[in-house]
Amino acid sequence: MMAILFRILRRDAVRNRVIMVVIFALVAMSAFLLSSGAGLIVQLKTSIDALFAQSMAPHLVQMHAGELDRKQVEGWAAANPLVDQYQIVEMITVDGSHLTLGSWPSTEDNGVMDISFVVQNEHFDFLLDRNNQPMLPGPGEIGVPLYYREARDLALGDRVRIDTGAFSREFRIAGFVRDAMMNPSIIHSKRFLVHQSDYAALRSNLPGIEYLIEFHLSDASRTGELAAAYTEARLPDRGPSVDHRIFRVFNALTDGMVAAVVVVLSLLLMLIAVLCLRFTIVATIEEDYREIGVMKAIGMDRRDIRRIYLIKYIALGGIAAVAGYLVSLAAGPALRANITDFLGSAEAPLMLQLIPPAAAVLVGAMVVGSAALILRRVHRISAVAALRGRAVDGGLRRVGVLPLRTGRRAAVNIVLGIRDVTQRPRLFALVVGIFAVCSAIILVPFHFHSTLNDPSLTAYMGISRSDIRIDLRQTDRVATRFEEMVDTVAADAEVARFSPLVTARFTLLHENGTQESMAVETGDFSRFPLEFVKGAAPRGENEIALSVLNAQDLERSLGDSLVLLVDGKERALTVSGIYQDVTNGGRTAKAPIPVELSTRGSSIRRGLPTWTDTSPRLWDRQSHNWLG
Amino acid sequence: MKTMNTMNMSRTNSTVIEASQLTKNYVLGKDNELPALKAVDLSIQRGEFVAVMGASGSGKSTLLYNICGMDRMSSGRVLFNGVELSRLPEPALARIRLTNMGFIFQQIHLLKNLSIFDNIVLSGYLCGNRTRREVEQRAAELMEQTGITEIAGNDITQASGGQLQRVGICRALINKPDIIFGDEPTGALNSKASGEIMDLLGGVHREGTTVMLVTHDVKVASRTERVLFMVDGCIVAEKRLGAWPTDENGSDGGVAGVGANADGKAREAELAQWLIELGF
Repeated sequence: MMAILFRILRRDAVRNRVIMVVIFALVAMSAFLLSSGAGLIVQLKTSIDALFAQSMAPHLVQMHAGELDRKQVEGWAAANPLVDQYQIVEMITVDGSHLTLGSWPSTEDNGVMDISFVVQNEHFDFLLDRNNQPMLPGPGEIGVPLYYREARDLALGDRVRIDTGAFSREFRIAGFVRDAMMNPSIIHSKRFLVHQSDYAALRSNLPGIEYLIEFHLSDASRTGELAAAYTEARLPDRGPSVDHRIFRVFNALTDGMVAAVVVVLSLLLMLIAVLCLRFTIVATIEEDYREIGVMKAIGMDRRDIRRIYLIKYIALGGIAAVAGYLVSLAAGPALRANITDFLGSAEAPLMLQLIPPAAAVLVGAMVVGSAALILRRVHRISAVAALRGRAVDGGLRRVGVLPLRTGRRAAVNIVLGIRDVTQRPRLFALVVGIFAVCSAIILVPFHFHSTLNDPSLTAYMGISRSDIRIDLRQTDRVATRFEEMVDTVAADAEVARFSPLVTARFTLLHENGTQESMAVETGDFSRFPLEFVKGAAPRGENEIALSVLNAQDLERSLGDSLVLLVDGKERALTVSGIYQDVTNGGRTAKAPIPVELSTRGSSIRRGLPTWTDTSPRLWDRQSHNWLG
Repeated sequence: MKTMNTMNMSRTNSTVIEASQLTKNYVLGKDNELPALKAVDLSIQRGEFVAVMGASGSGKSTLLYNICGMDRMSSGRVLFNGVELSRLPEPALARIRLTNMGFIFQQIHLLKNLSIFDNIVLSGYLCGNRTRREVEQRAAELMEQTGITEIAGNDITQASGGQLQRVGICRALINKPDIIFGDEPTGALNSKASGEIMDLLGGVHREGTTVMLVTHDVKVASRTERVLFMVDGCIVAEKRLGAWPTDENGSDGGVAGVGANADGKAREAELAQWLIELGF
């Protein structure tokens, strides 16, 4: 019997080679993509796990710029039972304009990264070399973040030069470091690793010092509690607080998105393959209707009949899945190169060997399973009906629909075409379905691209539309710098309008008496209006706008009120609008509450002065030290 | 439910088909039924060569489909080799059709992805009662007997209508059935090809196989031993013609022998007269 089935397969392949090739290509492509996507995900997860384990990444990090009372922090950490280990990492911030990397023609003046120099940590949060071992550069040597190897085309042995005019020092690149915390390009901070003696020299010649206050917890899931306790204790917190889950998300983001897109694409291709398969099988059954009827009439078992048709889809799905997997096997190392380079290779290759082939098998099984399900309609064919020459669907077509006499002026051909569509709606719906999915595959990336390039996208990030937005870094001099910046901008004739904004922390009073710290952006929001999902920008001092997530968390909608402590007094604010925001975890608020930066008290924990301008331009960094 | 090994069916019983009060109504809608067979009684003995004639819509094909278990009767009973078909589930009925019955249709409807030889052996393979070698040997013999050996490896599109009908006969005989059912087996053929097919069926019958044909063709019916005439779902008349005359060598007149000898022509005329009397 198998010999006959193979002969059927061979003849069918020759007869319908075009459709077979198309379905084969779709299934093979789907298997390749799903297999590759699964491989990427496995590699990503195992590599991140390995990186985090080897580097002993901190569970919670509080960044801080400015004076630091070490004893206060250490005393608190030593007494807190949640803390397993802690350390205060000192970092020397280096202005990009003072740094030259390799033979790159310019300094890092226009670079987007905040650059810091550090020494290797003692207890945890290690910066790793290419073998995922803590890197220990010698005197005169430097470990450069992997990001710069690609961005600045660096190689081992290249030079890194710091030159402030008054002080200069040159390092030789001894290696490229993997930094579990700051590896991804989307994190705008990078750590360079140097020897203790070089660090000491830099320390005495460069003024900028920042701190990472790092905690390793005995129970990593309780970072939220520790962060809350830290805030409660009013410990140094001029800078964001980040936990290890965010590091993981950021590390996984770029390659994870690639993997996700690949998997989605694969599923769409599989859907198209199945829809094509359905179309082909239905057409084949329609074509062979009487042959199937005769086979039933002469006593062939319906399962045998189904097998005759299924064999080619088993062969097709199987060979295509294997072909797709083999291609993914060949392309795998290239596809995973970015992950293994930045995050290191995993030490658990078993999963990597099992899951991608399993994904390819899944594609093949889905195709064969779909074919088997579609072929169940063979069971519905009546031998007698087929022999008597009745229609495939047993005469169920609605012949009365749209008789030819309707639309006397319409061309007969057109009426016949429309009749056919209305009489076999499912068949044509299938064609429309295939067309829709194909269109989606083409249009989704196109729309994704145009969305990302649309200037109004920022409106969904909680940022009103303007030509320039400047965020000032948190430092001791932030109030002075803010004022200098506002003065400079106000005096610039090219600036049509601007709006200084300050993000401050206020205490939110709940009805049950509990309190919560809340970041609120303050300023005049009427100059650069934001897109609001509901309502409008806050106008008076008693109005506030909430991000969607904040509104959901606080269970507030338009017209509701909430109470903030402003200058030590309770102030009821009415929700005037709700807007989309993805910044700060999606939880932000905007209210025109006057805040004096120079008199910042405990209510102003974090100031992020912002201004906006209507004409794109750049200010000279050298002449405006508020930019530094 | 009664189970049965079709191969163990008794062949000593002289009655192959025994239908009593066989009724078939087609449901056209709610409270709207079309009677196709009206309490038909029919008995076919082993080795008989029977033709069913009648006008279009008289119920000839419906009778054939119901007594072979291809269609479900509305009421009544059909015994095949002593087994009541109406009580059997579909798979068991299919098994009986595959193993004990052979079918020849007006349009042969072969599988186009198989060669002619493969189309013939497929039923034999699926039946599973004999080895592959035996099935292939049987197919080769049948093809030789029907004169289509040279097209064994051909595609079905490379054969004429007459050749395809011979393929159908080979397919019907591959499992050595107890009975051959033919539904207008020569309906799509010219008179020469039609004669050749009837010669072959005559040979099959002479070898002991029971044959039942549904036909409009007087020439075809005259080759059988017994003719049943149907009107409006009932068998209203029956004529026994006796054995087809053969020459001294046992031949039935050679290729395209329908009506080829004088006895045959007389027999055809007699049947035609009978049919005219019945208003056909």
